[in-house]
Amino acid sequence: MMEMIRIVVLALASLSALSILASDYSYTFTTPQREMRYQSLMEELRCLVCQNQSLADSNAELAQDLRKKVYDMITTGNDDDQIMDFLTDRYGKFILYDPKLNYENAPLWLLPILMICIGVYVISRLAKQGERSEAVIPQSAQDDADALVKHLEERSKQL
Amino acid sequence: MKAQPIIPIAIFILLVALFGIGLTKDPRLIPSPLIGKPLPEFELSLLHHPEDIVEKHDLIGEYMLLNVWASWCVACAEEHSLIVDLAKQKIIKIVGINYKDKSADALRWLEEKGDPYDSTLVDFDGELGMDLGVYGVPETFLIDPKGQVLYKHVGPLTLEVIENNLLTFTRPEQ
Repeated sequence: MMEMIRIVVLALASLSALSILASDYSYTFTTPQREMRYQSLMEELRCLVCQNQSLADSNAELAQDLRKKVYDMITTGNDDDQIMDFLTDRYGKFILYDPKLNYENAPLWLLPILMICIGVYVISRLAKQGERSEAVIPQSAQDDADALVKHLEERSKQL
Repeated sequence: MKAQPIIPIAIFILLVALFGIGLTKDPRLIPSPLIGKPLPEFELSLLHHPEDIVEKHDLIGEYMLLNVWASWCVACAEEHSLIVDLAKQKIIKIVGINYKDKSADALRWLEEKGDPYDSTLVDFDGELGMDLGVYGVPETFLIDPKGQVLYKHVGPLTLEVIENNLLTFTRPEQ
């Protein structure tokens, strides 16, 4: 058992060492705000070579170039919008992990809301149907129920 | 309201069709925002004459292909013989952009495999590559005489791409 734990810990440790390797660039920033902006941009931008990784995660050469470009743009005083515009002008909106609402992606954003509306409508229809069916209990069943209630009341009086 | 099984089945078929279409598309192909836009400005030296600087306006004025390649790129070797053949036909000007490469390696590569390029520009630090949105070499751009980007192909060229996507633009009157 101890042996198993040791192997797992070792495997995890080597994995984290790999991720340190991937971020082996040491950029220095004049203010902590700039560094934070840099880090959050790295998480929001997609590496185009390895599409399921952010720029922060990727070790591809293009990702290194783009990290350097973002670093240069931050240090020369560009704001986040200018950096995003620079990159989307060249690589398209695909580079953004969290694209803003626009005409192209509007269906994707609005479809869930539409689905909820349809769901609410269907459920309310079903609920109304339920109410209506409650109103039409056959007379014979109603009589049986009344008789049973009456019978039970008499029994309870006798006790 | 009676249950209508037709509606869920219709939605199901619609979704299957939608996902089916999605499967046939290549997720690695990213639409270029550069199509219909002017070619970015640049100043690069020539591979064969490093002391000569070439700018955008030196190149434009006729239809041309910009082929982004590197000697370290395996797929570039794959498409190269097609480009050599195309150059022999002298239909269109072909300009090479040697992307993030060592010039000595690039020169040797062209000597071995043939040099189809009217001129080859050296993009050593990948700056023009970034302005062109290059994310995987080889990439080929079709530029019109005014310097507008008409078409972009990512990956090795094929005869089909050359015939159907690159050369059709150069003979629009037919």
